[in-house]
Amino acid sequence: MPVRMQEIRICFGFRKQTDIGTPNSAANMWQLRKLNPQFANPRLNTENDALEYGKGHEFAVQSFATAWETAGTLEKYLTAEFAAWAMAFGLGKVVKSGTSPNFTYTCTPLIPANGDPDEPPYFSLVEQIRPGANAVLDRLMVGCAVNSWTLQVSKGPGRDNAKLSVEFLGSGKYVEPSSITMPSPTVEKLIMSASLALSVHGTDYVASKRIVSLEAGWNNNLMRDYYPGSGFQSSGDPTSGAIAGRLLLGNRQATLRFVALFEAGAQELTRLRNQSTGTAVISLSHNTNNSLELTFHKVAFASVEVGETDGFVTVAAECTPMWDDTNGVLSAVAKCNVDNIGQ
Amino acid sequence: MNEMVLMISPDGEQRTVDAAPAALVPLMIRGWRQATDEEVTDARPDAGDQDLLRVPQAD
Repeated sequence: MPVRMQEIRICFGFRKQTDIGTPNSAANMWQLRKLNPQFANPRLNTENDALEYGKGHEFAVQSFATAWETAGTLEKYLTAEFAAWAMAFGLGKVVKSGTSPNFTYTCTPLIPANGDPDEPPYFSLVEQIRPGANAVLDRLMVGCAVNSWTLQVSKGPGRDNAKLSVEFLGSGKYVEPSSITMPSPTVEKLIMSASLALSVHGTDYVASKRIVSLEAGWNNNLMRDYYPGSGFQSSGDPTSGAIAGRLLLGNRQATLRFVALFEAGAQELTRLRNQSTGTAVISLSHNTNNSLELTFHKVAFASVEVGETDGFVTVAAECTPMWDDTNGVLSAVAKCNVDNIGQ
Repeated sequence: MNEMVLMISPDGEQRTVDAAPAALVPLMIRGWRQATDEEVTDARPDAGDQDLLRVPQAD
């Protein structure tokens, strides 16, 4: 019997795992919807002996399971809950304050040079289609971490104009069947692009009605670490394939670009020429208790191009987020009514 | 009154600060972390003071 993609249900940890190999319990997971159909398939890498000498021919006679990897994407309309989760797990360092209905998560990137871990927080992810005795799909991916997130805000009235996408990597370890009873779906608070406030170098792009679209992002450039002793899919069984023992933070990057209407007196080209620096603050909200605010503490313009969007003269600006001695590169303040996100 | 959170430095120094980004972010990027619930419970000024456990000795 064919199975429609809409039947897939996912849940994943809103609290972090205690370590990369210990999965979240169902109580620490939430079920959210997503927009993209891709599965987080555990992929087994293999090798064979085709190139080895001594066989008398160039063909493989044996193949070997070498290592597992998991990866996936969560593409969603922007909500307060998912934003808090993406910032907590994506940036890695969280301070929680507030109480229901106003939990506040202040998030910054991990700085290993100052004593922070060099690994991101881990979560588990479950994919299920008709779980039970005759499950179509029921598996739990252990030791996943946010590799990158991208916030996209654009012009228009629909939900599609404020989206948040997260790409994650996993250790490769998975459990099938998951043995997880999926929690009830979490009701999310939608955040729409109409709530945007944007200030770059002190210019309020919303008050002047100039902003057309923007994209902000963070990339951990995670590296799967199959170090000697990192372990196997089945503990102690070298034929089951290796799993990563940790996901290391790579050279991280923050990104910020936007398109705005270009008009007389616009400062973007001047700021590019002068290489002046300033802050960039992006705020979006559902209400006072459910919101997201991103602050890039020091940005310069890397490129500014005058062009056209839908028949109007626009300027496309790409910023270089830089390290600020007091506040670092980027901080996020996310508010929602779910406790213990990233804790 | 603003909410306060207990932060701990990489060296173990404890500081109670306003739960606002302006106060938290500069500490967070310098390695300070939020105290766990257990650490908050033990955050009395005299926590760990061995003198409190010492039985007075007769002269």
